[in-house]
Amino acid sequence: MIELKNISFSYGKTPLFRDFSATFSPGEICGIIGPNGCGKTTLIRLLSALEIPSAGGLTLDGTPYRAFPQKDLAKQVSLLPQSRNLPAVTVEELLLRGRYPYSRCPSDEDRFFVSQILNQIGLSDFADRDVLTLSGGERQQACLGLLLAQDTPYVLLDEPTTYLDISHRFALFDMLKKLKEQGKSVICVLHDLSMAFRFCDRLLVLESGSLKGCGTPREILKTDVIETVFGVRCLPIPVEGQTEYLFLPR
Amino acid sequence: MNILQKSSTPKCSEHNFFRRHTFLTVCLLAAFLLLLLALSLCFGSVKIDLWKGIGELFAGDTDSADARILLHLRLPRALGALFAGAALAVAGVLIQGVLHNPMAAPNIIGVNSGAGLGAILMISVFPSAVSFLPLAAFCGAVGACACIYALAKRTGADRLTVTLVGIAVGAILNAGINTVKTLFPDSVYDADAFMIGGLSGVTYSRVLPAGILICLALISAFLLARDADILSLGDDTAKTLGLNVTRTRWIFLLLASVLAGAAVSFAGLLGFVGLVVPHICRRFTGQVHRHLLPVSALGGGILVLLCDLLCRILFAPYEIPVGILLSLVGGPFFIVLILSGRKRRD
Repeated sequence: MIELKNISFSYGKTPLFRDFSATFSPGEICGIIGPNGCGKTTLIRLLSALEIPSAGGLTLDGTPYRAFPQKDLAKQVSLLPQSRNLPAVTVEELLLRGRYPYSRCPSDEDRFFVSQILNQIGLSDFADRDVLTLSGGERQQACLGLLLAQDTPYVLLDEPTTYLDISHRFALFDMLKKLKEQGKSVICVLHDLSMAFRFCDRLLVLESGSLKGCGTPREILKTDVIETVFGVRCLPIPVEGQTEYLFLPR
Repeated sequence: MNILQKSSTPKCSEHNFFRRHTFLTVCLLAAFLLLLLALSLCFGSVKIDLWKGIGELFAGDTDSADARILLHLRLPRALGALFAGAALAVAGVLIQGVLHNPMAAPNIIGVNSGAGLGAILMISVFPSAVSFLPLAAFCGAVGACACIYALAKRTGADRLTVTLVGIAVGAILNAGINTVKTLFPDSVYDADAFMIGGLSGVTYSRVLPAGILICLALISAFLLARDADILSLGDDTAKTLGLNVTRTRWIFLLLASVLAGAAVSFAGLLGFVGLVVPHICRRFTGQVHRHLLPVSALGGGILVLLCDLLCRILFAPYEIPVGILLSLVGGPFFIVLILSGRKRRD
């Protein structure tokens, strides 16, 4: 379990988080939602140790983050950032770089593991293709492959649906569900509220660095937090035995 | 579920042949390099029969004209071209990787000028300490690198700004070189040739200490190729993959400074090798540094050897400094690079 205890963080003299606490458990998809500038990406960066809090601390299974050597932390927590530099390499080579925390030089075992990931995300036919020749959606898939190749129990994603069309979005969440079934903790920043309510087990609602709500989608809907934070109302609609969520202006 | 079932059919990369057959590519380049090395030993203001010259050397006859030219003029010069080319090309790969900037190269962002200032100061103040020239050049190159890196980091500057800052730093350092030349006019032998970059005055005493440093730095860079791969993914991704980004950056900058400094210490301010060669090689190898670094080292050696050979035979019995021909090749290449980058942005 990742635990943030009384975190404070500011950009220069502008405070963002003050005494912020939250926990993230294995085997769940946790969505972080909130309006622009509320601190979603900063929270993900704190969780991935890219930012250091000015006060408070983060623990992973009870051990403080700072006690982990960098490579050991990389075996526990992986991140799909919002945008990423993609070098001119093949898809397979890109995914092999995800094995860096485990071995400096890719072994046969790493190559086998990567071939399985390529199959899993449907990119095996693209293994020899240069990532720079892929479409935006395909590149995002390759980046997801890199994340999976890192094989960590905690998987962080910052707006993973940005470059994806609707069918690829559903496919992505199917993939995230599989990760959850493997006991991994999936934490993702999402702008798409419908997707967040449909697929996440738990939601954290942020506003200006404060936690305004935390719970299952149903629990969140029982409060007026969505209306307060986003200025919209949510209409749950039962469709083919599932609940879809429609968001309308207030 | 197959996520990409709707995607287009996969296309093979046009350069996959080279990526799959890097060993073959390296062998072909090495063979071409050896051929150029042989030609470089044969041709110049005087044509030498290579086999005869080598035969005389092996027979212990080092007094014949051919053997003396071969041993004391052509061989150190060819080795100098080889070392300088490999060093500057690999320094270019490392600097471009560290700054995430394809337009960065040791001569463009002022690293060569820093090395030049260090070397020319050393030779002016301590004229007899020739073997310390690579060290002095290294110190100058590190100073220039650190200055540019600090400015890039502090300002979060974009690629163009970093390049422009580098050009400004280079101009300041060149002004420093000219000041030293003015203050010590007699102690700097053939200062103009040093500024242009040339290999005509290369001797074993200057090329061998630098060559040893270059070999050590090249081996270190090859051993750290995997870290360069991870760094090419960007700082955030590299950190989350467990790479110590700051330490790795400094190591690469130090290695690039050793390489550029050592090359400048005997070849002067050779330009554009660190820009042209990595770009051409990257087209064939991609950003896989375990392939890119050795191919660039060979490519750099080939370019400088070839240009030096042409400089000697085009106007024989006269010769022009190799730096002139490299600038004639590299200048237009840099313009094309800027224009193609602009076209992509538009």
